[in-house]
This record gives sequence, structure tokens and C-alpha cells, in this order.
Amino acid sequence: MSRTYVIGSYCFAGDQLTNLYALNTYFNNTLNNWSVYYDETGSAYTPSGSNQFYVKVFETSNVNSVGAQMDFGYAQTSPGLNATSAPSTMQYFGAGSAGILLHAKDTAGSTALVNVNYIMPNGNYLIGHDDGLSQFGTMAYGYEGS
Amino acid sequence: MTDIVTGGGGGGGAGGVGSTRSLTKNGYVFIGDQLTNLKTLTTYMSSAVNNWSSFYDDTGTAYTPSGSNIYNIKSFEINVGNTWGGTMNLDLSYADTSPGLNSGSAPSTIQYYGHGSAGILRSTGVNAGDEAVLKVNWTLPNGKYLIASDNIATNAALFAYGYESSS
Repeated sequence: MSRTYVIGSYCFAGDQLTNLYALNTYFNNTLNNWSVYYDETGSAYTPSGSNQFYVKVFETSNVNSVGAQMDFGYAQTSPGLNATSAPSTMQYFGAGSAGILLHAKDTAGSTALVNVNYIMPNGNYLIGHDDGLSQFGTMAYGYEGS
Repeated sequence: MTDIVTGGGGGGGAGGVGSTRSLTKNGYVFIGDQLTNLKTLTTYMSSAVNNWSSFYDDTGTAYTPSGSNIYNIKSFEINVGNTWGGTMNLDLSYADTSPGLNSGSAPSTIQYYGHGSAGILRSTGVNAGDEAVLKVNWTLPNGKYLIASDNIATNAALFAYGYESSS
């Protein structure tokens, strides 16, 4: 018998469920900005001990009616909320920084979700990048592991 | 091998001999002690800008974990009550005291989950009856009250799903 939690198309179970993190950040109406993801305590998230973070789902929920074009990645320093420049060590997941990993819908209240299978190394912060003028909340779901 | 019988959506089910009861809600399977100690909490946000409301249990009491327990929150549901030109920007938090329903100010000890108090942890739809689900894996410490707040003039009903445990 086992407990499970399905988020997006991913089923967390066992140690993955025990170590599940629901991270959150937001973007305001600024063109081209970077925000770090926060844990439930309000701290900029970085994996504990020597762990890595295994990212499975990114999700956005729009506040205004402007589509968001998002990238995700990580860096060794936290940019905080809505920084206007990327950290110097920024490493993008996927194709890069053109805002092409996830396109959020352009209707207020709408959501968009992408399932991924990325690894953020220990000693880094998870970061979102928005290259549009959208305002939205965003969640990242994944688990810590060695 | 134990069967797990689940219902669709918010439903649950009881199996036959040798099976185990479970409830699948918003993707999470409550089973065993988590199902026994499941707490479904509700609250309401009025059409006021910037208000804070406690979550209530099935007895109508502002909820705080019993004994020395904590509350393990797995998801929130938001159901929008009116139609207007914007979205509801929701934050979730906890505090040492209960603000009651639709308080115009936050408790002094408030601690927000996630990025803080900008009001966009999750935005909901713009039409009456729109629903949204926020999946989390958060903890309400013992002695605290679970609180929802918004920074915009939507009214909505909210539900929290989770279970009590000793740690």
C-alpha cells in the first residue's frame, strides 16, 4: 500500500512524496525579469545538505490578460523578486533564454502547465524568467534527492 | 497486496474484503491515518479589497490543530462567487490569532507561505463559478490558524484539504 500525489502528469510516491516541495514565486508587469522560487517558509529555495532538486512540473496562473513567455533555470545566487538582470551564473533549462519553455495563456485566471524532468544541482537557486509584460503567480513542483 | 479503491474527482470508495478505504482529492491519495485524520476546512472572502479570513472546521470553529498536532495541507480549492473585470489574487498564511471572516487587517504574527503578500500565489478565473485548484505540500504548525487573503474585490469560497498528524 502506498500514498501517491499526482501533479500534472507526474505521480509522486515513496521518498519522492516525502520530500516533495511546492515552490512559488511571481512576476509583475515588468518586461524581462527574473524571480527566484520560494519555499513554504518564504525563503528562497536551495536544496538542503548535499541534495539535488528534481523538477517535474512548472505551472503558471495569470493575473492579467497578457501572455507570459517563460524560461526556467538556476544560478548560484538568488535574484530575489523581479530582478531586471539575470544572475551571472544563470544556467537555463532547455533551449535558452528566449522565453520559449512555457507560454502562459493571455486570459486572466487561466493556467498553463508543463511537465519536465530537470535536475537542479546542489548549491543553486531555482529561477524563472519572463520576457513579457504579464503578471502571474507560478508554482514549481519537485523533490529533493541525493 | 492491498487494493486501493478510489472515486472520481472528490469521491472516495470502500472496497470489499481485504481492501482499504481511500480518498483521492486533487491528485492526492489519503489513506490509513491520513484518511482517518482528514480535515476539510472552508472559508469565505467577501467583495472587499484586502481582507483576511480564517479557515473553519466542520463544527464552525476557526481551525487550529488539536493537541500537539500539526496540519499537513495538500491542496486548496477556490470557487469564485462573482463576475467582474479582474481575477482574485490569493495568498495563504498562518498566524497566532484568528482574524475571523473578512478582516480588514492582517494579524500581527502573520507568516505567508511562498513568496509573500503580493496577492498572486494563485489567481482564479473572472467569472462566477470559476474554480481553481492549488496543489501544495505545506505544514500548519501547532497553535496557529490557517488564513486566506486577497488583494482584490472578488468574493469566493475556499476549501483546504489536509490531515492532522503528530509530526
